[in-house]
Amino acid sequence: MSEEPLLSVENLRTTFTTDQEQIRAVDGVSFSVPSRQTLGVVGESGSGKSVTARSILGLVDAPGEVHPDSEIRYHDPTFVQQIARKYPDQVQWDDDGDGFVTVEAGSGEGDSVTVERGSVDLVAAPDTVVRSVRGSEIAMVFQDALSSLNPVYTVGNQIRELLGIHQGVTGSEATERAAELLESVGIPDPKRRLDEYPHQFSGGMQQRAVIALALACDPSVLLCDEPTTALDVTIQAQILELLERLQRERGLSIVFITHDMGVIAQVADSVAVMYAGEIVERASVSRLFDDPKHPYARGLLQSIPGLTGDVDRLPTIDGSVPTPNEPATYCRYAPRCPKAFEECETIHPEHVSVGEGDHTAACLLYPESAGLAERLDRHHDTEETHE
Amino acid sequence: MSDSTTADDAGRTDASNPLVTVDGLRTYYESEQLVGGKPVKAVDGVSFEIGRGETFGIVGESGCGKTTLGRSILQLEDVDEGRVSFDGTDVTTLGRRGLKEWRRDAQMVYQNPMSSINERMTVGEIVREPLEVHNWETAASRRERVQELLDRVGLRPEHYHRYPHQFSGGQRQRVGIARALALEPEFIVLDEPVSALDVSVQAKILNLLSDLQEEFGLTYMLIAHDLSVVRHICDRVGVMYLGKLMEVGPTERLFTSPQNPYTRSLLSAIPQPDPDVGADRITLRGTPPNPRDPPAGCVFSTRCPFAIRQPEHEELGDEQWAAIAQFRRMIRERASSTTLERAKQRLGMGTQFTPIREVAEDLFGSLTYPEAVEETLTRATELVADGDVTEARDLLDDEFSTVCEHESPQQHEVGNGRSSRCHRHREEYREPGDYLRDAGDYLPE
Ligand code: SF4
Ligand code: SF4
Repeated sequence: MSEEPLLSVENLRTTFTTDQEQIRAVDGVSFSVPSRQTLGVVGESGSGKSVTARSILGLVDAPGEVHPDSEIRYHDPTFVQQIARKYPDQVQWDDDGDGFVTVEAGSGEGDSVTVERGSVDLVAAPDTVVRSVRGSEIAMVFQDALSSLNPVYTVGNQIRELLGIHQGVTGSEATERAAELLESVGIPDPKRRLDEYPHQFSGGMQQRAVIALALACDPSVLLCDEPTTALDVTIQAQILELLERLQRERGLSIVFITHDMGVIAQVADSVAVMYAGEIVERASVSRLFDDPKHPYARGLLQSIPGLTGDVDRLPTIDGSVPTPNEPATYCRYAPRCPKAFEECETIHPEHVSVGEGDHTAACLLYPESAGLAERLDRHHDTEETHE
Repeated sequence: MSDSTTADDAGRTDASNPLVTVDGLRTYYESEQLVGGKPVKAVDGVSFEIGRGETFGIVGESGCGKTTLGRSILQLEDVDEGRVSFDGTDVTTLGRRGLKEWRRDAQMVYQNPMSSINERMTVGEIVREPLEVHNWETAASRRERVQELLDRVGLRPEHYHRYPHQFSGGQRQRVGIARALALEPEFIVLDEPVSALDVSVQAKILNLLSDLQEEFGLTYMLIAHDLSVVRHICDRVGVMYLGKLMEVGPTERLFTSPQNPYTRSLLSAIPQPDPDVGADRITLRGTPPNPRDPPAGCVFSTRCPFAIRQPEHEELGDEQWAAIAQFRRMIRERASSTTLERAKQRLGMGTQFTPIREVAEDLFGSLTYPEAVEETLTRATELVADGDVTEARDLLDDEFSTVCEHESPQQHEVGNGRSSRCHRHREEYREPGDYLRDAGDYLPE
């Protein structure tokens, strides 16, 4: 198994500019999603987790804007090859040049180029490329299933339409495929359900239908934004089980966005914890729960009721998530952090390794082994890269 | 009801003098359909007690009737049957004046505190309104009282003239709590008070509620779908499903050794914030039935993984059993479709059912069954194919249905102040826990 990511995000910044201020909803976020794995993105409201997902698919509406220096790279070789052939003058070998298609391993050139390894940068790519990614390569499932379904068309017609547009499948073949899709997401009596309208489905069945729609064009990556938050716990369990099965059967890579640490523990292979537009800790799921390092991640885990057992008062985090409306030249968690010290107000913490694997945290307390001066130096040094 | 005493025992708390006693409460909603519509049994014969100073939790999934139960207790809904006594007085018989007086003592905090409030009111006015309605003392002392309340729930004096939309969700809930406290009630129904809030804000509101309870000797009934919240603050918990109270008991015991099959399934569905658990989870299939058309026997029987089987089917594997249950659900649903729908269907018009042989192949194709079962399934399939859906349903009922589908279970005492509604607590059947242990033997590899 290769450790090559299928999707990687580098220094993603998405800002919303209004008359009064510029909100840095996503402020320098980097992560990668390996093939057939699930990356959990966890955070409270205002952390920027949903905007991150929307940015990947180019679904950020004005006044929102993805900063042009951000990189969102999709690495599927077949897709990269297809785009490389279509846009030969945009192909750059390795990192040499400024085309939006990067080929790292391959041969030939022009419209007969073959790509074994490479990526397409969706930030630099033209809209038509992004549109061809949306749905067919990377699909999204939102929290509110009803808003993703059209109330005036039957569920069957919505799937058939998608199949027609993206895959040129029509008529009885499309009906057959639509029924198969409904069946694969566990909707009983699928042929009959095709003729029903979204409001005739229960909440759980609506979310299944949305997942069927998302799968219609056979994507490789599924971005799930709080897909079970609106559902009851027994229905949530069904949907989580469904996603797990679909991942196994179809080899999907999943980005699962949620505020629920319980859900994260169950679905994720690795986790990114977001706070005020930034990722503050990255770890495998077991490392994060066994040994969280960032003070915010620790606080978040402690404030889950029921987890701390029989205590009268829940440990709380004072204050609330700030709106990131200025460049981070300090630690955004400092006003609430029980461990904060003077320098936290003036130095922006960078990600440093805090343990085995890719466990990193952005906090001036780390690396633990280093003395204060050395630590500050380390975080200070990388400052320039951050504006 | 032969075991009717058990219901009372279940509600008894250490405080032998309950503040609230709910007895056989039923709240039905009339059907919107004009002809042949059945009422929705939102609350269907619920009994429990809440001790003075206690926090009693009601949990359940959407549509189980928990919010209607809360509203019925506060007489915000018309109750069809049963009694709600508050401090010894049956409040279901109170007249308008009596009710208004009683409402000083019994208040409600909503999930979205501002939903029932005029948006143009300031925070001060919102908290003050109940004082005005009940003519609390003098105007000056009302103002003072509001300031005191704002301070008590952690808001600042200058918030008096702000508008709720300028507030965060957590602050708005503080306003809702201050308003509920205004008339010094004894009892507060908290309806999903923290479910719209982020985890770190939730914790603060929950802490505030505990502080207030201690300070003012309040009694709470907390309605929630989030079991971790309930576990954290409730002394005792009732679990609802489709209008019925399935299990009642002290919180820790209910969470650590649930007795009722539904409680077990519900608890096992909660994603634990620990990546190492989760292997032996019970995943319920299907969705709760329409409350307009609840199952004839136990309300949980259509989804219950513990359902009692006829002796000759005891050893069927879980997968085999689940496929039969699914098949029966589909045939039941088809049998209940209207004659017109079926006529159209046979003429190839309108709604299209998946051909039944295809369904049977999908469900049973990869599974093996004892010969007798196989035969029944094939016969039922052929009957449906010939258009005799009701006959197929009856055939399957004869073969597979048991007491769980015929008879609504009583509330049984199950020890340690707990009670549970399930036939498996009867002597002739195995207890749910024992059944689960034994069932392991029948699971397919
Ligand atoms: S950098 Fe300072 S304020 Fe920020 S999390 Fe670390 S200790 Fe706390
Ligand atoms: S009575 Fe039967 S169906 Fe109902 S909970 Fe008990 S075992 Fe399950």
